[in-house]
Amino acid sequence: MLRALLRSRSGVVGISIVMLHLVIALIAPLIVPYDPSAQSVRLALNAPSSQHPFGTDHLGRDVFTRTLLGGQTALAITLISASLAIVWGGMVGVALGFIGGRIDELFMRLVDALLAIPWLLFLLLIVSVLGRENWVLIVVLTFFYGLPAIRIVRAATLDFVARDFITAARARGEGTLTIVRRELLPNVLDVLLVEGAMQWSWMLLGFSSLSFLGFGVTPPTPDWGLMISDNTRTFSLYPWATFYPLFALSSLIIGINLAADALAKALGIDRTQGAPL
Amino acid sequence: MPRPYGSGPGEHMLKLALQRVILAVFTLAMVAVVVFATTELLPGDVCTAFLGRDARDVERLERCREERGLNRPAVERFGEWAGGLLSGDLGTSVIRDRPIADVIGSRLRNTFVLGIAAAVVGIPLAVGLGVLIAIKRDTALDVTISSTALFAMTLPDFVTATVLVFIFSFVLGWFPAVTLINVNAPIAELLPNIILPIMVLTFVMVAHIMRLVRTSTIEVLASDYVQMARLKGVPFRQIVWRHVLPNAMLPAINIVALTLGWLLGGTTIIESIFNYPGIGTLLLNAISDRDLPLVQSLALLMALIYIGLNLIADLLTLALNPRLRTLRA
Amino acid sequence: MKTRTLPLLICLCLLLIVGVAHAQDERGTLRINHAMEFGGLESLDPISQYRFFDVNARLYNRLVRADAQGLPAPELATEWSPNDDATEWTFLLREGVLFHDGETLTAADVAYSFNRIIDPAVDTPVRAVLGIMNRVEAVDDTTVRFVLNAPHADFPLLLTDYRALVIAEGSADRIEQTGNGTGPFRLETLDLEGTTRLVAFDEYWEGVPQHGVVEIFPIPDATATLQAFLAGQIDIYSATVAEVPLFNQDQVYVQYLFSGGWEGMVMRTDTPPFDDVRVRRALRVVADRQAMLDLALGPNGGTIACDSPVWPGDPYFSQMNCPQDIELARQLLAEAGYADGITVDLYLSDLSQTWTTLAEVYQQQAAQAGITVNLNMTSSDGYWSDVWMIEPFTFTSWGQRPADQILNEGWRSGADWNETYWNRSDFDSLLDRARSALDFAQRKELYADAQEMLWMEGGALIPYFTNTVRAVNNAVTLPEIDYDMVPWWEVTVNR
Repeated sequence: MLRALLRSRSGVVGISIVMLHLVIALIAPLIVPYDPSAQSVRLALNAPSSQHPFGTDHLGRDVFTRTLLGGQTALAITLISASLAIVWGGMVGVALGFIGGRIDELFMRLVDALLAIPWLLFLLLIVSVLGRENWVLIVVLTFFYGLPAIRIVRAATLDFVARDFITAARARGEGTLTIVRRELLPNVLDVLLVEGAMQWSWMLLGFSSLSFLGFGVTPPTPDWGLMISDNTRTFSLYPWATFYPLFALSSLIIGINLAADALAKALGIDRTQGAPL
Repeated sequence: MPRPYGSGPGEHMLKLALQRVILAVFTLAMVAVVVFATTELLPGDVCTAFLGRDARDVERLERCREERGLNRPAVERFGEWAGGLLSGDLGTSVIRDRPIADVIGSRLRNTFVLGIAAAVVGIPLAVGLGVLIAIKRDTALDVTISSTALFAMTLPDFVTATVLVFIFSFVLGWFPAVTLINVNAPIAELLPNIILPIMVLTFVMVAHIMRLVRTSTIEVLASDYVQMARLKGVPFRQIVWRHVLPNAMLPAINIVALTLGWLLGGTTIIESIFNYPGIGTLLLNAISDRDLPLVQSLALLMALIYIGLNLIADLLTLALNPRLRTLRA
Repeated sequence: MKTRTLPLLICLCLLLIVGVAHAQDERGTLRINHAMEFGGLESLDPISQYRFFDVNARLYNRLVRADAQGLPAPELATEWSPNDDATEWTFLLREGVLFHDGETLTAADVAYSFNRIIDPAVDTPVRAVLGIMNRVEAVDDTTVRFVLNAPHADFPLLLTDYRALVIAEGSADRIEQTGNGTGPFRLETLDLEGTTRLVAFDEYWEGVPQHGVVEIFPIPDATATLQAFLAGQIDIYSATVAEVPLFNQDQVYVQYLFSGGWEGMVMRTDTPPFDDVRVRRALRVVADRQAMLDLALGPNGGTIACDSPVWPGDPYFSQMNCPQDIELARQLLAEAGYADGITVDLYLSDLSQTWTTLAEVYQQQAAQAGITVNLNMTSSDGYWSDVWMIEPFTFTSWGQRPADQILNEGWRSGADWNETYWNRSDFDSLLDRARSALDFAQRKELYADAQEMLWMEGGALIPYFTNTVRAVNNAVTLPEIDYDMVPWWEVTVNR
């Protein structure tokens, strides 16, 4: 699988970008030249210079430092949420596809219902009431991004259930759990992986919108979404304060997209089942 | 559902379609329950929200809740709301003290005007570009358009909005930066105000649809019948119009429905940045005022639009693609 | 290109048609925004808790306005005098003042307007300010007598409150629709979610209004408000210092006005460790107020405060010095038994953008004296009801108020918003004595003592007063006066 992935040029590019971001996020605390929250009136909104290669923001904080560190929270939260989302979405999806019948029908209507509700609304409500704790964000993102995964995985499961080898396994007298684990999961895993990657990139973008609406990370923390939304208003005067975090966010999302596309192609998955907006 | 049907194709079709409609209604009922339950679970209410510091005055807080009927049990209020919904009554906004239908008023129309205009510009553009770059696959044109679209897709919409406003309102002075017109203004007055929002929406949506259409067009182009037609010497232009476009559109119907659902359900951030008097802005205001009945009804309305469009997409796919009729529901 | 220019042309034509349809007053139209603060409940009733400030300020008049020195100046009343012990105040009214409906203003209208404020059947926040009134009587057509519950030598200052406006006798139940006042503009259309239009009231007593129309648009979103101003769609914008460079000098001018609004951190003086005056003082003297001001608001963003809520523009302001003193803080803490440092929890929310910055700056400054400040970010929802005045150390913010009002509202024992739980009979007695002292110099001295007491022993850390930064379109001439006090009839619009 990995080999197939690496055969595609855009896949290699995508994976390299993502890896680079992950590495930077991990080692950033060791290499950044300044304290990300060190403020100074004198340095406020200075253009890029040799001391501050990316310039400084409205509080005189070093944009280079904050850009390097700014991915940490977003990456951690979205990576955890995306993984949890495909895990719970995948499990429920497989279960429903396998169980079928009225229960499946009922649950799918519930999933449809939840998908139909403007989820941003609930995110806003929940975050504004429970506070902007990271765990709240993770729970909410996991829950809502898990819903499309249920749909997709369930569809994939239904395809497999109808096939011969599952029938054969049943005929051999294998228990439901065994069939799910041995036969179904390995087959559905591919779909899940691609879905997870896509979820991840959607989440990153959604996360920055949350910052814009004032519901993202708590302000002292360096965060791309927060940096972008804090500075877009004045982007025409101090473009550097918006541009670098924006570039970082964009490149990561592009990287994930390229990698996910290549992955889908390598695994032979039809990506036409739409992504959520 | 993987369930075999014994009846003939026509009757079968009708049955399937009917089933979809019933399911959609059922889903909508579930939305109502979920929306109500979720908003009820939240501790804050309209009184603590607008009383602010005065909420420390317990008596005033109680009086406020009393006046707005917030002290009654949730089940009772749900019954009232659901009952009202069935008779087409959306309820009363607790802060605005007016019927919700009246509060929403022309806002739904305004959102539709913006959404449909954006769809009319964006969707054909996306489909056209998708087919174009599929035909010109792997050329410089394809790479340029694909990567531009990918890039546009990764920009948060509020950034795109700010940049476009800067260019077209501040520098060039062509369009108003925000909408400052009456909610009930005639559509003609809306028009100059929606050009910038349309541009932003187009930016956001083109990439998704275009990438999808590109993939499916490439598949169709590689299919046997297109190859055959080319061998037969049918002009390429004609092949594209007659065969490629319709077939490549099929998988795109779903995402087009999703996109339309997103557009018509009120694009909260964009409406709010442009101060556009649609249901998205209203939702954001209702949330910050904790006007829960209004939030609930708006959420239901948006869900209705979403489910309705998906239903139409489903039925359309069903009608257009004979193979699906015999496969699974 | 073609696809874009065609709709544009159509739009422009339509715009022209629409523009012609509205009859324009040649004196020009002032366009302002309101933030939908009350979500569409905005009321033309001046004493309603949802008072529609921007509109009411133009529709109605007060009896007394504050002049540039913060002292009472004539508006609808021309002169006033107290009785010997300042328990009764008599006001003479201006003659020939007309309401928008053509009726003449009489003392009965004034008595009616002010009796509403103390009517227990009316629910109004203005009672917190003017509750001292016992009854208001019309002596004759142009004389009104205010009988107070207690002496108040500065009673006319209380009447400068932006909600103490005069409406016509018996008009309370219609006022929300009519907006019938004596102000320079009268109501044409009230549309809270669309455009509210006011037109010049040419019989206005102070003179013919210099601009013809006022249009008020709702813009709840902060970014949208800024963009509307930058694109020239609204004329006045309340800015932050950081936004000033965005304004195009050829189109916009900026005014910096001293103002008495403030934000700060309050300790509950009834709760350990803040019940120890040494701890409170230590936590306040570690503050480098200039740095706080510069970082949170920017240069020109405000004026330093020394933990007294009386602002420099107030006639009773007392000049004090409050430099950062780390040594003193350490010494005080050691005396209080915290030689090894102290840890405190500070509660805030994202209600105000500057709170977070201020909290971070304070955290760094306090650390120098061995004080560990843990920041506790709470939900903005219910901050005022569940956190403020409940947790021992919280953030707060206040609008500008005259000395007497802010000290009584915020520091008198048992007051509703006594956020530091300041319970000192000697302090209350200073306030009482100031109220009954008819001599200005004597009052000033008493208020100075009260402020000194807060700086030495109080529980509120008030680092600065926030300046008003106001950007105005060049077409509009706006006098450099606090928004509350702008004589709107004088403002000209040349477009």
